[in-house]
Amino acid sequence: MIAAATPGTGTSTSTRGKLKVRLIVQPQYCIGCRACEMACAFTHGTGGQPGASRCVTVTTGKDEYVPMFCLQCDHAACVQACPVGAITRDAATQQVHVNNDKCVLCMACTVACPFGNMHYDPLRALIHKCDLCTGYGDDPRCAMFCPTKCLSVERW
Amino acid sequence: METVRYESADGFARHVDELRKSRLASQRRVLVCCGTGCLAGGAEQVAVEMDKQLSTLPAAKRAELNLVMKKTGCHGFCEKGPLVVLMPEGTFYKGVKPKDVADIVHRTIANGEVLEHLLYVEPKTGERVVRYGDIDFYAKQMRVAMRNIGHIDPASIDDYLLRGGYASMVKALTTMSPEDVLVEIEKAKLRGRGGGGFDAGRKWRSAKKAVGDRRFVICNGDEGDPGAFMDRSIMEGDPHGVIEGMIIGAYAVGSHEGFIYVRQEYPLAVEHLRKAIADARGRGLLGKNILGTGFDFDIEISRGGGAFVCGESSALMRSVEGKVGEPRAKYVHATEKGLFDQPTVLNNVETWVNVPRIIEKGADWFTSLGTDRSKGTKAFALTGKVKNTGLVEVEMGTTLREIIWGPGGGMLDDGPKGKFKAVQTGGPSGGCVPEALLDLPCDFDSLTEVGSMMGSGGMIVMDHSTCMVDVARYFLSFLTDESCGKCVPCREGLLQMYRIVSRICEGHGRMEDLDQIESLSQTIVVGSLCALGKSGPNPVLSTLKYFRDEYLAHIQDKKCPAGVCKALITYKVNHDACDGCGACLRSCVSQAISGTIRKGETFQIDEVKCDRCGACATVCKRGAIAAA
Amino acid sequence: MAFHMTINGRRVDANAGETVLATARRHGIPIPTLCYHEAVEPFGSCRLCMVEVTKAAWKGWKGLMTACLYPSAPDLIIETDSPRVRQVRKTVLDLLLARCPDADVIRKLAAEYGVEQTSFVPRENPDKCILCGLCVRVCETAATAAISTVQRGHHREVGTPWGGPPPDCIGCLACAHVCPTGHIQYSEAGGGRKIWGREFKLVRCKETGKTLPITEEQAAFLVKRQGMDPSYFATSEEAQRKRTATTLGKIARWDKLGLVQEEVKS
Repeated sequence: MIAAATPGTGTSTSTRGKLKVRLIVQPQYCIGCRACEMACAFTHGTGGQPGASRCVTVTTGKDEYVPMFCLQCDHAACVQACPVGAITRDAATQQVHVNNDKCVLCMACTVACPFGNMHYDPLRALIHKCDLCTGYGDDPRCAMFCPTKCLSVERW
Repeated sequence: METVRYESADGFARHVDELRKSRLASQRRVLVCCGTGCLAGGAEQVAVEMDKQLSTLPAAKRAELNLVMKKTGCHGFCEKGPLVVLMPEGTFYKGVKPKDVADIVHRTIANGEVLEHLLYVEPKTGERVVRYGDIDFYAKQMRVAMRNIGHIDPASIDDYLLRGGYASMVKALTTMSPEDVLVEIEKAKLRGRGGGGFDAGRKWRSAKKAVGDRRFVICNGDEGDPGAFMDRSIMEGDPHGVIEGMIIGAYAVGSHEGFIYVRQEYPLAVEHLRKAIADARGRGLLGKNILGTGFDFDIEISRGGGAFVCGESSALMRSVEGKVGEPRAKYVHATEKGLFDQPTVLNNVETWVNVPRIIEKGADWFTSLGTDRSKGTKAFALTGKVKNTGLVEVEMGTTLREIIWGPGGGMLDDGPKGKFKAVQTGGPSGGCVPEALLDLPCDFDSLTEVGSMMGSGGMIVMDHSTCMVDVARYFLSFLTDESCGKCVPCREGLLQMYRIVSRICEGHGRMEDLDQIESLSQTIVVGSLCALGKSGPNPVLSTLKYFRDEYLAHIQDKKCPAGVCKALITYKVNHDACDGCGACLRSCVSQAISGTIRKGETFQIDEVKCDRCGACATVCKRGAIAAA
Repeated sequence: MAFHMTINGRRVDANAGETVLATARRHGIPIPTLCYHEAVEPFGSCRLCMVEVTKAAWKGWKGLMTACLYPSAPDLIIETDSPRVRQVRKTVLDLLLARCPDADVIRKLAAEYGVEQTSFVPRENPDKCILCGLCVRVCETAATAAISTVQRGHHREVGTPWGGPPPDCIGCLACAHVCPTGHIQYSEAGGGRKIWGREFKLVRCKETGKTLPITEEQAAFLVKRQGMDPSYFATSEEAQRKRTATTLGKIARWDKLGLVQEEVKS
């Protein structure tokens, strides 16, 4: 079980008590099909373009893959790096939330994220990251479409 | 020089008493006006010469006369300067040159002989007037805000004390509570004199209620309206009057910090205010624990950077903060969040200088003057085509006719073109008032109802040699220059309006222009961020309302009836009057005049080469050249 | 603290401290803006967001206020699209079209209000700057206040110290991104970035050598201003992701191979 990690300190602090929806990732079961990326892109209205997915499956070795998404860090680097305070912890969902109306596209967050989970979509000119499909109804779609038990959802 | 410091109201009273007893002996005062207007006319040299001549009087004579010479602030009769007034007789000499001073000293002062050639001539009667108080210009005024100007040396705090100065402040701080003072101002219904006419008591009350760590009082001395110089004269000539008013106001609202914002172009006002503040501090009238009451208050001077828009209260506050002077939306009032986001009371110079008088004589006295909704008096800067140009303070409700033909002395030019045409009030925010409305009372509301406004007091009289379309063009040119440029309706709208009116003046106007002016004005009036923009269309709209014919003449007939708009006038030689002297030919820089210098031959002006400078018309002794 | 007001006849809830614009947008009621951006304080310069405001107590008097600045208050009655409002917006857009005839966003907005061609005299040698002030305000908030508006009235323009390349600019491009008309130009080539006459080097990833989307000056600025270690701004997103994925993958497979003794407890 991988829980959210605190960058830089090496400890793993669970936000289980705060996050209401949690994506459980078990990379050992990932087969690299990238259905998660497609599902993510379609759900967020980008017509399935993989480049616009908030989930990125990284090939780490022969037949070894790891799907990567925002870890909703407790002490997020992106929150601290943003010079206009466009990234905050949403009170209701407890997730790290990007306010695109406030964002000025300086790219600081995409660089600061130590895990490479903050992305810039050049076609739509906006910053995005995994939002656990909040506001898009149902569970995180990647988990719904994952053919293996790599991605699953836990609700609290 | 002894340094007196007042530690209590008693100490103050005792010292003033001493002053009275000492100065009572020095009864005769030779007042040389050294306001900016008279200085421009050479008053400094007059003062120097006066000093010199007075010192040549034999010692015994000097002791007998018991004289003191004072360089005073602006009397207000600026066009007649340099002025010298001898008190207590009130002998008034105008247009004094350094060469006249010897006679003034040795013949008038030493011998009581009146110098006829220096006396003011009353235009209506042609009579020479000796006494200051008998001159219509002064006699028909009621000076409350300008009560001290011209009677005191602004650099002398003792002069101010001798005229009852600071007594109101002492009364307020030692016998009244801050609430008492505030109630008195509320009862007096004092409305702001800077143009807005907002009830000062209401403003002070909301600042007092507002929450904040600091509280400020500010004096708006930016006076940007072209032709207005009342505030300049008050700041130059009676700086303590402003300071005293601010101390009383600060006490009422609970402020300990004051600013006087003086426009960059008034260095003399800054100098006199600085001296006055230093002197007041020295005497313990400003600073910590004033008169032992525990009330702290001090004033700093803030200088403008040369922008009309900084007279707007929120822009002024930004300027004091060291930022660019740009207004902000005032949905949250300055009384709650003003200077440095703290509760602030901002009032005009003239408003502040009324405060000590109200405390001294009471709200009932103040409300006995003026009209139902405009109490007290108002100072106006009467300029333009009047005989007596200068500062006029009258009771609110005095009609425009009474002002212009009373202290104003009537129209300047007695010829046909000199007939009254309009009077522009309120500067670039105001409008013109035609002859039919001359019996309107001058107060906050009556002029606004007819599309003008009383404004800060600028009053420009125009006769038939003034083109009203050109007047509108002038004010638009001023406003497009002075707009801060932040909001679209003012920055772009006034610019486009200026272009339209200029085109009309150049003979390229179209009837559709009038519709466009009217519709554009509507957006500028409701859409602009601040009063500069909002009131910007007023001059055009009011001239269009009352002088539409003139606009039509420019557009349809391509003519300028007043003979001002160069593109629409032609200079012609009247052959019957021309005597062939050739003066016009010699005066023409465009070589547009032809003819030979010989009797019987008259001259011609080439319309194409002529650039309408009017020099030929001016030099022609026969009046044979005129613009049509 | 919440209360109610009426917008276009609809009763909506509002919060203390909200502006009319924020309240309207929260309820999906559209109000056009040009000089508004959430990253900076409202400015009130474009006047496009003007709405008609009244209250029962005002006895029929209606004021036109900029929604971006006007505070929401109990019992306000707002109209966002009345004829008076539309007339002001139309004229403002007409004036802006005269100023910037080539700015597409203005042309589009103006057309929505019935203005295809300006009825005023177009500016000579026009550019696309509508003087909304967003670039200056964002630079002040998000960066170094390297640019500012200079001069006043119709001479007003966005300028730099003494008209030269602004020494404080960090090349973050925030100004270019918030500009509504695309007036601010920049270019990127060969690992460098050019804007406002300044040239910048993009940071190169210490692992792969590929360029990052921020300049060296920007990285230094963020370290200082946001109080973060320089190591946050030295590696590319891709490299970070690869490295993290590799580590996470290893941990997952150790678990699978039974090499990790204890499971992370839920």
